Amino acid sequence: MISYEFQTHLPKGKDSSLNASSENKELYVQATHFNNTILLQIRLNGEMDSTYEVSSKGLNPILDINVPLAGNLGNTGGDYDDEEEEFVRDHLSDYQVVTKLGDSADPKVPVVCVQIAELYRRVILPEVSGTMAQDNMQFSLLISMSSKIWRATKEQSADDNDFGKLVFVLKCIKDMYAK
Amino acid sequence: MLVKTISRTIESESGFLQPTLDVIATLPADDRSKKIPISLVVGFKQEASLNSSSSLSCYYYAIPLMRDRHINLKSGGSNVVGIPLLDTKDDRIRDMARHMATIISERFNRPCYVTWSSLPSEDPSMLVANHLYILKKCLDLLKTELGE
Repeated sequence: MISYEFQTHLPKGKDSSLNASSENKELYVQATHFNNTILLQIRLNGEMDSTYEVSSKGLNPILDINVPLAGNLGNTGGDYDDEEEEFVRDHLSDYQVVTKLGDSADPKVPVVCVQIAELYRRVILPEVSGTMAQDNMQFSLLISMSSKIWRATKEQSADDNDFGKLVFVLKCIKDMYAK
Repeated sequence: MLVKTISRTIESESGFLQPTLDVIATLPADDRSKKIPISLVVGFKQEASLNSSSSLSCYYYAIPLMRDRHINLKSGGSNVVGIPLLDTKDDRIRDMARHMATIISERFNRPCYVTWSSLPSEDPSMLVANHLYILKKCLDLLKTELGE
């Protein structure tokens, strides 16, 4: 089992006042690789309270035909003749997020987990294992993280910059493997 | 730096009898808030082979109940509650993870995530035979690291 880790601080929101009650929060990311799954920990100020399992399951096992769950007829060539349209597979819909611990009604978390899984499928796994990202790569992630990362604090508006936080967390995960 | 990750290999003093353990532990660096969980990945050490063939077989979570809530402690005495986050059909592995998570959570009064990583060639009866040894070694490691 191979372990990676990365530690940084959440950037303060742009509008946070000087006496920001949100003192700088430490974000700690650690991953342990097994051959059947990857255990990922994302801690905010050392805390983590919810766990999700993300596995890439398209329709394949059920109907055992290799039809991806979703995709769109992406138009490849510049000219618009029809035959050349080739099926562009939408990988984001192949993931299944199971809440092992925590609030399963939280709408933000499945999005976060799917984005992390897609980051792994497209960037990290090819880099770590050295093989290209094939289409039907099956893998699973076990993510333990703090739900406070996505919870708006009192003074911030509801979805202050969740997207910014998500991009920041993804960047941290990527940097963890960069060293 | 609130949290640190250490990875240790624990040999047994008596040499051949007990197996060597591989441990990856993420611990609170200094002992401030009791909300920072301990997370532990434990498995038998894999003999020299290139690719890591250890697989995650059980992931258990335990958390101490707040003592100030006046609950009657007759319910099994230990005021720690836990659930398997990723379960296994092999009871011996689940018992190991459950027992370890419960003891660590109770002893250090913090939430605790324990992962048992098993090797393909592993025979679970080794787990039963070395159950207490594994617990003791992990607890000793945590005591020295946390300085408690």
